[in-house]
Amino acid sequence: MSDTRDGSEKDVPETLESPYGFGYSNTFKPRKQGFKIGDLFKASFYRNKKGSNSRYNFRLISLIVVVVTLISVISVIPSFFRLKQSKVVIILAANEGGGVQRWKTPQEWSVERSSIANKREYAERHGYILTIKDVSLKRRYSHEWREGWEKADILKQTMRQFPDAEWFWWLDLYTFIMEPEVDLEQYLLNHVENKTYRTIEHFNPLGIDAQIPYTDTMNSPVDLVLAQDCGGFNLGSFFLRRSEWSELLLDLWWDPALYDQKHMEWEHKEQDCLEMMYSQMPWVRNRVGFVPLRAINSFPPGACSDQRDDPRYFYNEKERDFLVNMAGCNYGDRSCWDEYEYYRKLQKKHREKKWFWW
Amino acid sequence: MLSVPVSLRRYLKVAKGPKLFFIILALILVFNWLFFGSVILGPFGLGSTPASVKSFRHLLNPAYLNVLQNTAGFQGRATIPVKGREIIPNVNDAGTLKQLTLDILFGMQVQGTESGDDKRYFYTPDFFEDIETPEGEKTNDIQKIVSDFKSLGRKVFAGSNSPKVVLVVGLDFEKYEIDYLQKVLPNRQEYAAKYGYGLYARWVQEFTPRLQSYGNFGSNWWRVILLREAMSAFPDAEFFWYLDEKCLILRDDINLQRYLLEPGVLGQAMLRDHPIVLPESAVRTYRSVDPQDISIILTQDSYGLSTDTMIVKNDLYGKAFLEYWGDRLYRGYENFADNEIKALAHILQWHPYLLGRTAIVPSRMINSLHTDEKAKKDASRSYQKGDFVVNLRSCRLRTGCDALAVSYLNDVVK
Repeated sequence: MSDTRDGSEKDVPETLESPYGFGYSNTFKPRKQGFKIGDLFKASFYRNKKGSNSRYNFRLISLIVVVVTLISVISVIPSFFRLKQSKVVIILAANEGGGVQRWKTPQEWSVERSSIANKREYAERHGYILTIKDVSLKRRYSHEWREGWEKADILKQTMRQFPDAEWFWWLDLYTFIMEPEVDLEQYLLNHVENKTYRTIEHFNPLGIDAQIPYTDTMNSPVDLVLAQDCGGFNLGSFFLRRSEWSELLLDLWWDPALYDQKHMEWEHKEQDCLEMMYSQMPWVRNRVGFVPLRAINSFPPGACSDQRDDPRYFYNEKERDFLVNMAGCNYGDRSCWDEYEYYRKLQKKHREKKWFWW
Repeated sequence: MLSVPVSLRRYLKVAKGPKLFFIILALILVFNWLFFGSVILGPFGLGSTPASVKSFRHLLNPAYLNVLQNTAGFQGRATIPVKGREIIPNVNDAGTLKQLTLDILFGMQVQGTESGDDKRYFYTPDFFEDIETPEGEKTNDIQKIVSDFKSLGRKVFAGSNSPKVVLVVGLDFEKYEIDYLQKVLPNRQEYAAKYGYGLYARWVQEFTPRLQSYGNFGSNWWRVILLREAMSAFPDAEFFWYLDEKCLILRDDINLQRYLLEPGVLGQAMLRDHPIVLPESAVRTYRSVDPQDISIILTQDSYGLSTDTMIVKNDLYGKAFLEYWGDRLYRGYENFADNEIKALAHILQWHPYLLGRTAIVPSRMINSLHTDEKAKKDASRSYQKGDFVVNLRSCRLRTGCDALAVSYLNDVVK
């Protein structure tokens, strides 16, 4: 019996033009009557005939209807504001090293998962685009000692991938967003020229010349926002705006003639090269804006450990810094996993606290 | 609604006013909860989120915020405004300057090296600002000439109407005889005046300390530095035409803008899919480039790229190109230190964004080479009567150039 029914289901589509007539399915059973809004009112009218408190019921139903509609409409409203294409793309560099030189430990996998989840939640909350890029060791970069320059290639490629986006936020894997409520545009990107330092004088650990000839920041926008740590520029978290300037920068960043001379000295590769370009070339200097390290890239106590008393570098729980970058947690006696778990729990604590506020 | 206690329900049923009040209150609470996440505090509850979520202003030091810079050229901010469209040295000083020698014009330190004593020149403070002479002391002619030499680099155009095109030339008082220099500068002046172009001329010797510091002394690297200086001296000009001192303009009736710079003309003239390095190279100029996008115009001689004549636009690409090319790491690189052309060819072959802004035009448009009568002429490069510019590259320095120039200058088309 069941076999024949299955077979006939394929042959006879369940439509209005069914050969068995309207209202009947192929099982020869009358179709179940669906829910109709009118039934609600019918029910209340029946009650009316009986003479009970029909008006009360009617009001109750309509109140429920109103509240339910209100809730559903209100919860949808915020997404209307985000209908426009997001201007911000978050680039997360994952799979560092890619397990080429040694096995990836379960803890590394776990940190990577939490890091991605953290960024994904943040991006979804604000409607940003998150793109995860693989920065494992590749032969074409190891050839000319140019691993660091993969960053420029990834940025170029991402700019092509999202042609409508304006700002590109590079994040290293060992970063953790502590305050997911931060709206990047309100926090930094709107009027970025007024929120960034246009000279190096505010903080200059490298001793770069504060003034070089031909600089003109008067009429230049800010296209690159970055922060300095105790050792100079930090490219663990930085913002780059799509422009002619940034395309040119990404093109000129790596040059074999420069690298041939400096590859022994430039321990941090593309970071050192950018420092060199900033210190020598006014066209680069014109469009760089600096923010305090803690604005986009706070450190845990393990990093910059020579200057552990300087409050400018380290995550401040009281002031609720935006992001923690566990830079260098692979080295020395530090543990990425321990640090990551610590900040993950701390963030959870902060967010739980909020619910008691009402 | 059903969980409301029976007594309250009865009360609500009877009293109409409070009922409306409770309904509105409930709606407000729901609204607050959905929108602000805080049922009772509502919009004021937002104050409980930390301020750092909205801005990082508490981390900023206002003393350094909104500090904008406009540093002038290499010789500092004590600039000397010039109203006219010419910023040029007095050519007649060339003889005196040559006699004074660099030892007097610059500060000097003698360093002993293996191959004998090496003179290292440096800029004295009077290059960067005027130093007043003690009162009662009259400046003599020599002092005047020296101070003119030192202050030339601080002159900037400050007229009301900036020229669109600026001719740039470096004058070398050691290499060429004065008679020749006295012909080159007027040659430029006449041409520039006719079309309202600017003229920027500097002594090549002014750049000696900058060249020495990266081992470029005796090379032509000063051309890159000079062009960047010109851009800083005429900040509102659009095009800068570097034309070497050994070149002469022979057709004053040709307007450079109409002849080459207009996109329509440039689009016709530029060589597309043309090798950067001669005779053949893997990297070629792009086939489909919009002439509007061109910021760098170059020519080639029989060896490859030439820096005897270059046109650079005063935009992001032009400036970045000159600053990158003239960077100390390029100038100091052992392969490039003696020859800026090698560095130029390197840049264009490695950096597609700059190559995409570069046009190579046929040599004879702005760089026709003078060829000796005995030598074999090259139809695409050798000067022929009627050409715009002649390059006296092969003239004998210190003796022959002046005579050769005279023969050409007789034929200048006014």
